[in-house]
Amino acid sequence: MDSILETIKVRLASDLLSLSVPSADRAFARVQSASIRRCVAHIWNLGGRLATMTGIEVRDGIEVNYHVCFDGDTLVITLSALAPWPEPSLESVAQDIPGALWIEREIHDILGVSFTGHPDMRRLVLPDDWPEGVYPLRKGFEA
Amino acid sequence: MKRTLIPIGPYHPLQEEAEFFQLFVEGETVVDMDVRISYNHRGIEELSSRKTFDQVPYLVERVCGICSASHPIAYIQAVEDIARVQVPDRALYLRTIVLELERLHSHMLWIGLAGHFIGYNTVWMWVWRYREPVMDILELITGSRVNYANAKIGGVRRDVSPDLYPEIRKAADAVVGPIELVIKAVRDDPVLRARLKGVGVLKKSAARAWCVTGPTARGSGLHIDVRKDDPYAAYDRLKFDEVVWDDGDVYCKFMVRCFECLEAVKIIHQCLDQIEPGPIDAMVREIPPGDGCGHAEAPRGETFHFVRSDGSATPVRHKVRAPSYVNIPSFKASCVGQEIADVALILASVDPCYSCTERVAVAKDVSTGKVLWTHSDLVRLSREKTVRMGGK
Repeated sequence: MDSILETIKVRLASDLLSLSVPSADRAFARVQSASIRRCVAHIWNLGGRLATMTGIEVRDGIEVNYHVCFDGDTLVITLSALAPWPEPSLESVAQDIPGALWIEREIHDILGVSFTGHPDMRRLVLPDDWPEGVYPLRKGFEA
Repeated sequence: MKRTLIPIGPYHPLQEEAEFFQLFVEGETVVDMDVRISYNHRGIEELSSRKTFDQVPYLVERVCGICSASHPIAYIQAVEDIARVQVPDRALYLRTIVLELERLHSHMLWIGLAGHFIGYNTVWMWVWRYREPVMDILELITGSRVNYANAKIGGVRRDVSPDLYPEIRKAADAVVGPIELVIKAVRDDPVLRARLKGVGVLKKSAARAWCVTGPTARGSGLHIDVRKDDPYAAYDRLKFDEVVWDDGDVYCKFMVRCFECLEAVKIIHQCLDQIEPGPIDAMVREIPPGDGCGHAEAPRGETFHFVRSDGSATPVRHKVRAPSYVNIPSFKASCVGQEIADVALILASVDPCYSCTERVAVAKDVSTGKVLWTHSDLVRLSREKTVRMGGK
């Protein structure tokens, strides 16, 4: 696991803002928002499997976490990138990884992050008659 | 050739929730497909942020009636990750026993459904009959057949009396004979083989690209099993085989599930051999701020939970990713080029769980929008194909 983390550090280089390793099998890394697609692609090419992504509303925007499992190395690494206000946006990783197609559509639906370059940004979880620009998981949303 | 849209769903006669598959077909061949989900979005992630850490396990075990042990375990492990909890050994073994009983009953449910889809209703009814004692044992251990409410942060809620061990062993052993019979039938029956072999192939590269998990991945030659890759509960102390078949067709996924049942029985026996008396619960007083990831090998594949805590009594954010959410999109790779009559079986081969993803499929004429095929039509087509091939 140590060797894979070292390799990741080298590959991400200056895109890596911070790294915390709370236990032998978990790591959390903050990376430059502008280079998120490249960072995830590096990790994918090392053999990581994108388990899923989590969008979280924070003070400065929407934080998107990419959870990647290295199944043979007993490591789950979470890359996190900030999509800042007022119009949160990140480059789509689904262009490289089909397994991210649905979750990017879902995060777009419920938190309003636009994933640029996504091949099919139709609605996934919201109904067709849901109003545009209303994001149900954002703070301040009233049903 | 004229292209036709075949809708399956949103409501399945066989399944309890809504999900909409659109198959684009030319003649008998599927050329493309699309899936629509979220007809019954329950907002569990949002609800979770309004519950205390201790209440959430009872919420997430309701994500799915089948994986009602795996979801709480994945969540609890994420929280235990944040709070650095040392769970007592006895609790780890008790968790493992319930998790493996869950795998047994889920796989047997699926084997029965697969039999039903290809027109072998006897298989369906008999396998479900053999599944019942497993449910009874789950009730005996946890107090409930479905929502077990057994695992908690720091351990488990109920101890199991040693008097029950022989009952558990007996129920586990009782499924071995029937499962071996099914394996033999699928291997030897030429019609069953023909219906399953080479059908709905998901190649290894596609399985990786779509990030699939569980028997869907292991049936395509990917060595992914959380129990081996990131051992939790008592799995690091047990000897069992990771069942991997390489061809990626429905036959391989069928075999993976059958052999996993046999492995589950081995695991349950080992747990009962190794378990020792002791505490079943570590006292957890507070959950500090931090992020935690937890995952568990549910019967359908990896269930992944991410929890963020700010030190208060409730999670700030709790993300749930159930296995079907990554397995269902892979239909785009496995259904294209297949016959319509095989589609019901291919869709069933990932053991799609609508509570995992909750979405539908329908057959419509693309130009008129008229509904041409329903799910029951497709099941009928599939059964007719078996009859044509010389089955019953």
